[in-house]
Amino acid sequence: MTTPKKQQPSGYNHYSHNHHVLLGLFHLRRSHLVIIPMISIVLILSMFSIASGQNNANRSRRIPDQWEQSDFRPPRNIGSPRSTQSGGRRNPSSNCINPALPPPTALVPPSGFGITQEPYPQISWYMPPNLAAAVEFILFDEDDDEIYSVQYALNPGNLPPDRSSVPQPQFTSAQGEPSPAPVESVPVEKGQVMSLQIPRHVGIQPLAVGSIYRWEVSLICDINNRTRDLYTTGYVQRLLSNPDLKAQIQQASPPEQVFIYANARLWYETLASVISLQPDRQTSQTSQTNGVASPLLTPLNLETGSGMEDENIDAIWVALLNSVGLEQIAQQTLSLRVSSASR
Amino acid sequence: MSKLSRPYQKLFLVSLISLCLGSLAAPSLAQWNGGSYRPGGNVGTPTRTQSGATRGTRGCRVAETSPSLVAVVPHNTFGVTLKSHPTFLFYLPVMTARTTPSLIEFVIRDLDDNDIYKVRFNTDGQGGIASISLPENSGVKGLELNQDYRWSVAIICQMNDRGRDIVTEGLIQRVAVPPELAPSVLQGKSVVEQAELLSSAGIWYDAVALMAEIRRDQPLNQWTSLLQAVELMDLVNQPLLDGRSSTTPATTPDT
Repeated sequence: MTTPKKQQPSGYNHYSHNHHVLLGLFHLRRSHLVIIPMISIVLILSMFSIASGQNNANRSRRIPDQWEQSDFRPPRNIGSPRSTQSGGRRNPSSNCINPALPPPTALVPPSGFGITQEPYPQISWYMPPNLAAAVEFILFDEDDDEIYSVQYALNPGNLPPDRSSVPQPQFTSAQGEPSPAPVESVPVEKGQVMSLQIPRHVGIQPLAVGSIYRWEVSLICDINNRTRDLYTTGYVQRLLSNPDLKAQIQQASPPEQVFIYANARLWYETLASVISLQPDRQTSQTSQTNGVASPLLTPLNLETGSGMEDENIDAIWVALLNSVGLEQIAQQTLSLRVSSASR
Repeated sequence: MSKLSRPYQKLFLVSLISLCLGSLAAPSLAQWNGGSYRPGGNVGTPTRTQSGATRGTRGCRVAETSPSLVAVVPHNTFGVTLKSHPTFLFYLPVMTARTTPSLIEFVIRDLDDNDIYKVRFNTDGQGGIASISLPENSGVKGLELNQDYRWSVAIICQMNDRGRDIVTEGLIQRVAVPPELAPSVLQGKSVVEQAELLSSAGIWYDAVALMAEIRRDQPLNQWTSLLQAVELMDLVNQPLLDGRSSTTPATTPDT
């Protein structure tokens, strides 16, 4: 393992301190001597903040407009950036998704490159409704060696109910017969956001600080012909964790955490914290564990219900995806964006 | 006559002693029987530990003093879960230095041999109890009610000769939540109490996973008795892999 330097990269400590203003207000409120003028000030200020708070853009504005500078260059030449348009191979016969919808897409900034401080980050991508056999996820180290790979059958929840018994679509055979899976049969409802966390408890080494890892998600349209895969890729670099930021996060509410992470440009933490605001995820987890949900078994950032309105979460979600040029994906994943395990 | 009776006498004495000892250590759990839960259809007979090459061959060897690769399951390898996305525990042995990093494969399949979930990863060959869960928000198809599934863990010694894998297997079935484990019953109970309830209801996978989580932070007698009840005593004091590899003690150096 590399020996990490006890030093943060420059340009790193740009956190929002807006919440200190609010803390200050609470202190003022407690003052007994100047209670009347203070109350009026508080009232005026809170009216002001309610007025602007009603506008969801107030929260969204605190997600940076543009996640990375247009002239941003990742630390090393990292091959092809996020390929949102083709989703990898542009194979017209790979019709296990509806061509009108975006293909599988890595949720990463335009350069394809995102930062984390997590030793075992959570990685997310957009997945359109599909008739695929399976999904494959692979994490590569700097030498392009696979260090973690997952392949799994998709939840039939990706299909409309009447199709959920379809085990696997039939595709064009090697002889070139026409595909019996016509495009019209591909479900057209919205896509989902899928996430995987690199598992912490199986003996996988934590991501090395400073190293850049590549990850790839493939939608396996035809298990017998992998050239028909639709794939997308992203990069992740782990930086040394910052104790100040950790302290801030521990004191912040779940929505506040999103903005703290965003202002620190920790892409993977920001994305994971927005996704965890999703109330569906909360309920699916509780029903999932059938009441034996224990704090020990739930990652800390999922514990507290955000108590936020759906519209507010949607606003943050849209702002975040817009900041990385994924407007189309944002619209596709509103309100039902997290792949739920509730079945 | 006397030739025959002597060994029987010994056997009787030994079993009497072990019965006493067993009841002292774990009064309610001397032997895991899994309640009324049984595997469904034709599930074959998976093996918790293989008889043959459990310790590998040259170039891919379990260290002399390490326990073998083993699924943390009852002796007949069968257990039940209440979850669609359960957690699986297995012991990864300490490998000799030459073997590291080790390539591990975890697979769960339905009884028609369709892969549900397959993971491959490298480890640094340190020993410890690993736990892996079917991830919940990744679109993974969960386990269906009353269906049996077979899972296995393999240490892949040679990718082009999978016959040399070191392997362990387990069976799992997802069952409906029994009334005594309804959320309303469990509400307000401590995690230790919940784990005990799961254990006494025969819900193997959820009980052992919860106890392992508790035991990460504190010693837990129930963990010891549960492992003893399935004859995995040599795992009682093994570390749980926790993602902080530098602090996980390598219990056995290369031999």
